[in-house]
Amino acid sequence: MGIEGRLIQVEVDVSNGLPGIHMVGLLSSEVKEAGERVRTALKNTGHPIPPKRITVNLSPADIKKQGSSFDLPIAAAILANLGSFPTDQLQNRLMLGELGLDGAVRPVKGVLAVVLEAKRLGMKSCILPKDNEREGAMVEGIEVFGITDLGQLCDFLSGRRVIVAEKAITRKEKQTYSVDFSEVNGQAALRRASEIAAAGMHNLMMVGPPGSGKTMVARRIPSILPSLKEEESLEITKIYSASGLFAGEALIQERPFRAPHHSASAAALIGGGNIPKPGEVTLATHGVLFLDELPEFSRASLEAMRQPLEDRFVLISRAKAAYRFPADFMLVAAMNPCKCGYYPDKEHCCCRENEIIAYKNRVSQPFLDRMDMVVRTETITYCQLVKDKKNESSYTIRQRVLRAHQLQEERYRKEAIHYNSQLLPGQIEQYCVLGKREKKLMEQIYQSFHLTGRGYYRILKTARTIADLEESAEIKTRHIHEAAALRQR
Amino acid sequence: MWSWFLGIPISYIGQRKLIEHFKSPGKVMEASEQEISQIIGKIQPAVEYLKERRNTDWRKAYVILEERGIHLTIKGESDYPKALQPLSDAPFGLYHSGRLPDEEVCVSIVGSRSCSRYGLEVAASLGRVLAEAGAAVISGMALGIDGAGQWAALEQGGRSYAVLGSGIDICYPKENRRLYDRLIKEGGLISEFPPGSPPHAWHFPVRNRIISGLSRALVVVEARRRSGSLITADLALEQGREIYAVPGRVTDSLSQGCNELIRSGAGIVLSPETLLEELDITSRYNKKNSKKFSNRLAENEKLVYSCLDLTPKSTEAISRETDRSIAEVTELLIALQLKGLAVETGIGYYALAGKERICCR
Repeated sequence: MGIEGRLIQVEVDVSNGLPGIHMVGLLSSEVKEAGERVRTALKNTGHPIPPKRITVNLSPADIKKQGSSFDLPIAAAILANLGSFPTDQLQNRLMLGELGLDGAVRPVKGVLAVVLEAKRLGMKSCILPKDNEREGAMVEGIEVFGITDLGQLCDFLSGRRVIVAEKAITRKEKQTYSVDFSEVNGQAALRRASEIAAAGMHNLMMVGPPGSGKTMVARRIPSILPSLKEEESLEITKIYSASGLFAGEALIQERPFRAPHHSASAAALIGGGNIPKPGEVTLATHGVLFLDELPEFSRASLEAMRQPLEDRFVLISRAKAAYRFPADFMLVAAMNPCKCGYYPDKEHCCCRENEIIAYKNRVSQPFLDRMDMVVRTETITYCQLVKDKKNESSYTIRQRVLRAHQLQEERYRKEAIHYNSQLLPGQIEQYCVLGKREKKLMEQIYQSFHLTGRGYYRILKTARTIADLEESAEIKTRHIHEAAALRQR
Repeated sequence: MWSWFLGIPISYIGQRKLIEHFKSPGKVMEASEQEISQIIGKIQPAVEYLKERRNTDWRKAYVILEERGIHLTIKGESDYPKALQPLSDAPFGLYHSGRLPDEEVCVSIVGSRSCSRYGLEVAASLGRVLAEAGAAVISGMALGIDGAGQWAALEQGGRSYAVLGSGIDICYPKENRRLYDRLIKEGGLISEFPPGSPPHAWHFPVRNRIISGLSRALVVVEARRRSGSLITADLALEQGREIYAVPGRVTDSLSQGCNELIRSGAGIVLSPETLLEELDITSRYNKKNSKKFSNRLAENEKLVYSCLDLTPKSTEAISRETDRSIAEVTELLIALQLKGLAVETGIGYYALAGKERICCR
């Protein structure tokens, strides 16, 4: 169900009647085919099925069953029925796996979520395909056995063979990114803005000419975010496992970076399909979703993202069920200032005023309203490109960001939020308290920059983060000044 | 009768040929279509217009125009601008809303549509100083230099006239709607094209002769090489008007046209005040001391302020020049902006704020 596991009970009854395997329980076609696979696999591993009527029921019967992971439990249930091993061996056990015709057990998708659910329901052990063994073993407190074929299963369950349970894999401490901020030359304004955005998990928009390093910096933003917490790590791994994108052996430690191409459809971004699959917003959870060439995205795709940006989850409703996927990500968008990309450099830019406005208007105002910060990027000069001075590394920046995250965590302990960017107007009044001078400044800014209410709150949220980076309890005028310079206009 | 004649969709040259041949618009109306076609050639829209002449009540059409606040002045009438009267290619009639220039000194400010911040500032300060001295600013109400000069003149309470390349009832470019509305009330809109004419590309070089013709002097603020403003300068020269150009940096493509004009003998505008002197218009303008203001700035604000220029600079460039962190520079720039000393011209780009309020939409 979405990215959550759901336990299905497999029941088998063997009785006299017209021979054959009959499967019931709202099955999709790949599950119905399981009967044929199981029958052949059993025959080929020396367990011929007697000419009897075999009824297989997958319950609860009102949930649509999908996927190939029911092969193994069905085979096991039939084998137990035929007396290959005692039935009580199947008590409190979870089984998953696809069968080949020769009886080989093949890997399946979404193992992690299912094993987590099994553990939650108090099951003692699970039997998984050998290839999925390590993925299942990431869950502590449940025994995981990996098997390669049906013969092994029979031997194991009848006690003829001992399989050692895979040791739970403890968390690897190392967090490695292949990219680092020290590789970014120049771009002082962009570096600073990225740091602030990361510190408060603010959505960031970069505007600048082509080749000014927008993509390069976006790619490095995950590397300045603090390491994932245990539960965040688990959630990401669960998402990737359910989407069939997980091939690792330990919990994912790196924050995701997703950069969908601008031709992406709304369904690709927020998730969709007959049985909905997670989209890019979900795959970017706890990481960065980077939309390059923002104006090139179709309006429908961008508008569809407004709800997840606000609620931090996606709810996809279908006739049979509603699926809820997490979508708690930091949005980084990049765009050129005009069609040719060089405005306001009049030497290169040949766009007319109205063309520039039309280009900007391709992104709707409500969408722009959700971007807390805007920063201008510059073409880098030759001497910036080749300078010898060492740039600050991701590690150094990460330490400052981490400190800001800790401050926010402490402050919002009693709230349902974690970061400044998630503050609601009511909470802003409470947590962004201004002194007399600061209030006056905000009033002046409100008037002279023709702000809207939303714009006003955005500046306060950003100012709060800038103050947190300085570990300052109060928001000072200089924080407000800088936040105002980064405002969306 | 004239209003019917001027409505014939032909160029000024065609109109002149007809008048030379038939002597008066009344005769043109009576002439056969064949006769007319022989003179101006077979122009389809014109032929259709002529066919309709018996069915249209041009007197009524004229009354409707008057009711809409659009007036028509014919060459030779008393309110026809005196400056245009002696020109060989003066339009036969001028449609106008608002006033027409009379005795006042008229100076036209023209230049590029896609201009720089520097150009805008200079155009605006010229417009303001001219308005203060009681001179009227004439231009084409285009984006960029034209609009900035006119807007500043109106802001200063002065007069401004726009010569349009479309019918007077059409606001082109539509971005300048506010300027258009203000010009009707506080100045005048002028066009030789009948109301309803769309802004055809060929209209603009033609209307430029009226801009230069109406004015005593023409100031080109920013023009690329081979720009429309240089056509206006050529026309002005033929009409015997004084020509001035605002100098720019030699590397700046936007100033190449101006610098070339200076090389070929145009007057040079060193400041709006020197222009007044050259034109022999007395200024009521008192120099304000802007230095005084910067004295009240904090030390670091002064540093950033001194770094600003009329050419917009990026935050990063300023940070490099002043050797201060991005955080500090952005903070100071916003502070200067709130004090009205800096303007943000594009995201993250700042320029020195002039004394002018520049035409903004």
